Amino acid sequence: MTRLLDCVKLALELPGAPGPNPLAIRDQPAAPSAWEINFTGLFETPEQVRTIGFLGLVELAASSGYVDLAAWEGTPALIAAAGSFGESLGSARLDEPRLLGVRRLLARLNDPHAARPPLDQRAYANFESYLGLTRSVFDDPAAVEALIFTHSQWKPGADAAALLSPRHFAEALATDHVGAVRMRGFSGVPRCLEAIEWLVSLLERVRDRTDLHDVMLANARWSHAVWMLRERADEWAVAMSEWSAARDFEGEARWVEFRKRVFRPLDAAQRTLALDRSENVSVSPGLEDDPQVAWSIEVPPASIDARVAEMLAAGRDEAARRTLRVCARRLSARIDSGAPAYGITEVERLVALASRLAELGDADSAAAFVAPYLSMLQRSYAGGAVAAAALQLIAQSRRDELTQAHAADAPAERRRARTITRQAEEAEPVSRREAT
Amino acid sequence: MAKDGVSKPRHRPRGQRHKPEAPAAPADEHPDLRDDLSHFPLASLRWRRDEGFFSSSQTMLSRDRAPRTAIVFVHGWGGSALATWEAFPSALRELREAADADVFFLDYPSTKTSVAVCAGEARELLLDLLRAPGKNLVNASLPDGTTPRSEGWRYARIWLVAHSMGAVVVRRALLDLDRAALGAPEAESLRLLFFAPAHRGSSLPHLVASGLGLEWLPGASLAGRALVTYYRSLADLEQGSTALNLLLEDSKAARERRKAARAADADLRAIVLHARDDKVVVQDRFDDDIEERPIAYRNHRSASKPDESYRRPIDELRKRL
Repeated sequence: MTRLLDCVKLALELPGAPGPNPLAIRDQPAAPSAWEINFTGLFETPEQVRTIGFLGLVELAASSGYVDLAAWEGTPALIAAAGSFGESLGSARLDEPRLLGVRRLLARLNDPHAARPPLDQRAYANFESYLGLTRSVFDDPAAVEALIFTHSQWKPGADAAALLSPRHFAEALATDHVGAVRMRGFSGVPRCLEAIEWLVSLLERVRDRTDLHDVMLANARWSHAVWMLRERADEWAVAMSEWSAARDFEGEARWVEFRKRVFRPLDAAQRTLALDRSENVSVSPGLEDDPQVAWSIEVPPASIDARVAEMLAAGRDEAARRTLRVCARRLSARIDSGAPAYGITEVERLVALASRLAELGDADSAAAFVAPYLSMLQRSYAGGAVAAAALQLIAQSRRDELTQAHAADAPAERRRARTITRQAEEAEPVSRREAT
Repeated sequence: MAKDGVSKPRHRPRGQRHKPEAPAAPADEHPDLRDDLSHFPLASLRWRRDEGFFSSSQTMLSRDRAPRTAIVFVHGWGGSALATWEAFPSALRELREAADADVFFLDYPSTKTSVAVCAGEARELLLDLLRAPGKNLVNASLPDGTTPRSEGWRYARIWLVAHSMGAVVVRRALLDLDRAALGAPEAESLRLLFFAPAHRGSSLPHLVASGLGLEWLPGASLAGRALVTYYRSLADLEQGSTALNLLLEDSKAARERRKAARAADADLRAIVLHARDDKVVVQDRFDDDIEERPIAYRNHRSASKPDESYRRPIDELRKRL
């Protein structure tokens, strides 16, 4: 029992006789505390939060076989105290999803025939690991601060200063500052991601024991409304993906895989048990159960020049290139649809976009976009400026290709150059639509 | 001869299967602890001579009153006692071969301290593990009411299982002990099992990205490169660093001394498992190490994390216990 309390930084006082304060649970010295993460629509006082958390942990320990309440000397006092606590909440509140562990513990304590469960080594070890996870979260002030901030004051763009470049990011992560400005709740985010990954693996191991699975889910309060952390981390991923001119497709794929493996099952499980309400109302969960990462922005064609100029002024060169590629791709799709409304004018527009893209350093994508329409341009504009511009883009890409081929030793480099170009034009599966 | 190419000490007649002793305590000493498990619950390690360096370390002690084996897990840069080795306590509980093994999960400030300092502290802990395990390590960590281990009891075998930077720390500590005249029986009791060791150097940006939990994000290595300047301890882990060059030289010299003295050197030759998808560490062989088949479908971080479908780390340890 001492270990349970120590892991969640609590000290327990059980009175000798029933009284007005049946169960006194105090924080051990530690600030901030993981108990301070607030979730919207909840009724609990801080004291109630701690009591609920501790009782849930006791239930988990008992059902895993980690503790034997029949043998613990404090059980009679715990029965009285837990009973009083349950009465003070009332039956309506006891039905709250987060109080699942409390309900089960009360039922267990009130069952005179409850026997020590047979040994389930996996459940025992799983709970032991859950204790270690809980301890690691409670012991990490940066992770706790990150969670508190995420569920209280974070809103899209709050981390932007730290995501401007690798240098800014490093400074924020290592010092909690960018320049002289404190980046609240920033440095602990990676550890939060590790923690939820760990939690998901534990939940997976007890997927066939709903008694353990659901109580653990409810008890891991620090992980609730995980979709909010996902929203925040998605911003990180998109911003970080813009750091390099050579797009990090592998990195993007890793993030997508992490979301699928970790966030998706946890989010779904929390929604099922109504554990997905965050106090932070500046962000809404949205309608999609599993939104994809918006690696690029889709901008209406009329706005694209202005939008690209804004991005370049902010130093977001890769974002500008992606925006141009998305627009060019959409335009190509419309031209290829064969609809009468789309013809040579759209091809001209495409050449203009591609030229801009080449100016920003992506000659290969530019050439790839215009090459299929070269014949059309030459027929319509024989010797004209538009056709000439298209030819120039293709020639530039060819020269770059030859330059790379001479500079690089192996054919693999040439293949990689072609692959990057192909991926650049194919890989815009999702984009954000900006308001006009 | 065991599969790792070195001989196992003979403490019982050939063919006799070792059985762990009966649970250490009668039921009335630990009414709230399960006595049908071979180990006590995972608990904080209370090392008597700790000066705040290993204070978050954990231990899972055998109920056997005189266990033969100790298994010491040492995490890498940015790791931690339980996060790095998360699935091992559970797996070891299920291993019959580990029933009479005390298990230690060391936790140390890997990102803030040089290899030399980490190794210096590890050396002191290893000395106690070899010469005074009961008095200085185990007895204070046992549950209250448990019969303490006797003063004369020693481990017959100590496995040092390390990941990444942990391998460098362990090697350095052992080489320093070797120079401080470790006794031959003590040296013979030690064995090394390394996962993705960094003893030939590492790509610092990737090491930082992996150690700080950034590897799932795009641009991780760019972030790692920028972060290198904030962690001075990393200088030791760069390929070609003074610390690593010295490590290799000292290892070769120590093996030469052993060879000249016709003494065993298994404690200087690690069993190494690299991960195929590891982008962090240099995978060249260190001195005369034993290189096992690389681990498929795993990277630097996941190489040391078994799960339901990936049992290799457990199996590699199990077959040597």
